[in-house]
Amino acid sequence: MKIEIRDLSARIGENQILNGVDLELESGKIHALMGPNGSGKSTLSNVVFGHPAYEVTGGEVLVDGENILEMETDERARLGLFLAFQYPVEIPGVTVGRFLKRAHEIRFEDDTDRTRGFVKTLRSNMDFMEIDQAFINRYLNEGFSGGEKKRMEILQMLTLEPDFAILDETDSGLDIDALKVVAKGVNRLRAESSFGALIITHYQRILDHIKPDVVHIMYQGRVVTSGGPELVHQLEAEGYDWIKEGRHEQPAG
Amino acid sequence: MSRATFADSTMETLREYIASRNEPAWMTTLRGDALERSAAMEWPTTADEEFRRSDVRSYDFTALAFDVDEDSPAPVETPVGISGTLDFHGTSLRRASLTEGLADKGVVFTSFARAFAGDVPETLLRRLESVLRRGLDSADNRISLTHYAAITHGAVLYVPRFLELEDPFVVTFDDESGDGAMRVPQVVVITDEGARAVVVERIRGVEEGDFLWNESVLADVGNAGQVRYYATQDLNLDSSYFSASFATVGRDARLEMYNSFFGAMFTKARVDVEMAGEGSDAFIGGVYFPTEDQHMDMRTVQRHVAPHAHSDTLYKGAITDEARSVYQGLIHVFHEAVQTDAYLTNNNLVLSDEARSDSIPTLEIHTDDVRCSHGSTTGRLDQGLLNYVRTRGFSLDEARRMLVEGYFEAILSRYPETVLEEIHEIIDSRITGA
Repeated sequence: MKIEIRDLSARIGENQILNGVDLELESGKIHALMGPNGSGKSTLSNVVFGHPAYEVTGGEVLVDGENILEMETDERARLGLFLAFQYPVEIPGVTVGRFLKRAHEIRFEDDTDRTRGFVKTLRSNMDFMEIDQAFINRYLNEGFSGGEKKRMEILQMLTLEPDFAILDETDSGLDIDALKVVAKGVNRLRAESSFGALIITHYQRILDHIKPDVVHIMYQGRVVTSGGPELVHQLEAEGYDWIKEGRHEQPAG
Repeated sequence: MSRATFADSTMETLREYIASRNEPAWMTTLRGDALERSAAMEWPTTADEEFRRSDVRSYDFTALAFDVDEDSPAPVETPVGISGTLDFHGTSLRRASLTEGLADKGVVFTSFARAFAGDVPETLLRRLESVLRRGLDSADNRISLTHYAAITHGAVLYVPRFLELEDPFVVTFDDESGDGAMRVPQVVVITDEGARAVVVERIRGVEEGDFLWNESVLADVGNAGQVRYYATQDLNLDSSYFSASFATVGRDARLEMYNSFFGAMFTKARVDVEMAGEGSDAFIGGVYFPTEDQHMDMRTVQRHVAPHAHSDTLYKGAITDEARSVYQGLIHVFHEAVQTDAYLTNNNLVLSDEARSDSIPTLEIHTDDVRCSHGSTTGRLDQGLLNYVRTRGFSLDEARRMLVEGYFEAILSRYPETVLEEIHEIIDSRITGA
């Protein structure tokens, strides 16, 4: 899957947040998206998924050549896109098992062998993510700790096997053990399929466990530079001042 | 006796009707008392607090035809996992079953007509009389008083001491069609000390015709006993449904009383539960989902008479199209009811711009040393939740359905499988239509 974001602008209310984002993403690669607070990283993921609070004011998002901006959120998901939320919501009265069973059916509706094997898949994924099986019968995210909610996002990702996922600050608020489990989940999909991901983060820490192929830096609603993993180390060493002062190189390609 | 038809429901006709019944003298007296009390009252108006938001002035309660048909029950097999069934068609009992051995243990599960025809022991008839009396005493408006004068048919369940029956007794009220006719069914559940029973009552969709239902459910839960009662009303949208139910819970006993309301253009339903014995406990659950221009007005009363009792009410509604719901809940703690622990929660989920929902919880407390609280919420389907679910591939309809079902789950998770499938189907059809 190839995702081309071209000159994308968006606002929420009167606040223009994205100011012409250009970004190319593809399956088979792990992309990291870094940038200071308020640079528009989470907005970008919300706009890609058609969150109703945001208004697109220009540009396009092409998935394998097709503009998805007119599609409903669920239609975008059914293309094979997945969003791991920064703040996963609690769904009262809907169990993890029931929710994922239906989501799995929607994702693999033409593959009955696969949908029949759902329970087995879910249980083995839960073991892999070190989540107690009792969570199957709990209401999704209700009363879960922050770390449990994040793990649950990755469990959903493993179970729905998207072609491309955006992980919106999945690492924030996680202790190192939880972070390793999350990384393990991403790395498994990466090893098993042509899975690709955009990992939105503030910190280098998660990128020690999930090695990115490409790193993008966002500032003031634009992707201002892209490069290899060495960018992460430069940010670690120098912070964002060199970006803010415009000393970065021009985007590569 | 065959089918008797009455062309209206004036005082004169009801008097004639009562005289025509071949019932024990106490029942005739009880009906007569109800009629006399009702004659002394006006029909409710919006000046009465309980009817303030539900105007019944357009009804002519004296013009309703009704009939009483004789029972002709065919014995049928009791389905697996069911203690017994009573299927009414119109006012006539058409099918009846009781799991083998239960009758020998003293269980009675029969129609009113058969109970009065000598089908039950004299001691039970006396219990029945006192339960009906209490129901009549609790009636405080002309519509529910008329009920006791006009009862047309009904079911009686009695479970003797220490008999614990987990499989439900199922009472079904079915009909074909009718026009401006009145149905006045009565259900009575009596359990002795330590007995347990589960009852499912279904008032099913009449295909056509504007019936007016005037129902009452009475329960007398014996000391240390346990009753779970699940009623589902799914009448057609031309019908009207009135009900006033009253239950008493004995010492250390527990009652769970559930009502789900889906049908009828106009619903006015009241559930009174009295914590009559020390340490008694009740859960009053309600689910309602009016659609189109349905009007549903529900009232619950937690009457704490005895000390150290606990009660909890949870009513949850979803309101869509141009529908309107009214919920009034009262926790009433009497002077003697020290150490009462009572809660009352009402949630309303408004699914359309034209839908409207009112929630009026009230506390009336006449003693210190109690813990009582109430809360009510009215809100829309959360956009954040909807968006989250849709990022997992759920269409708007399906996302709404899952969230609304989840919303009702706090109550429906307590329902037995027997009724759940039917209820989920009804809810699904309303969300898809919404």
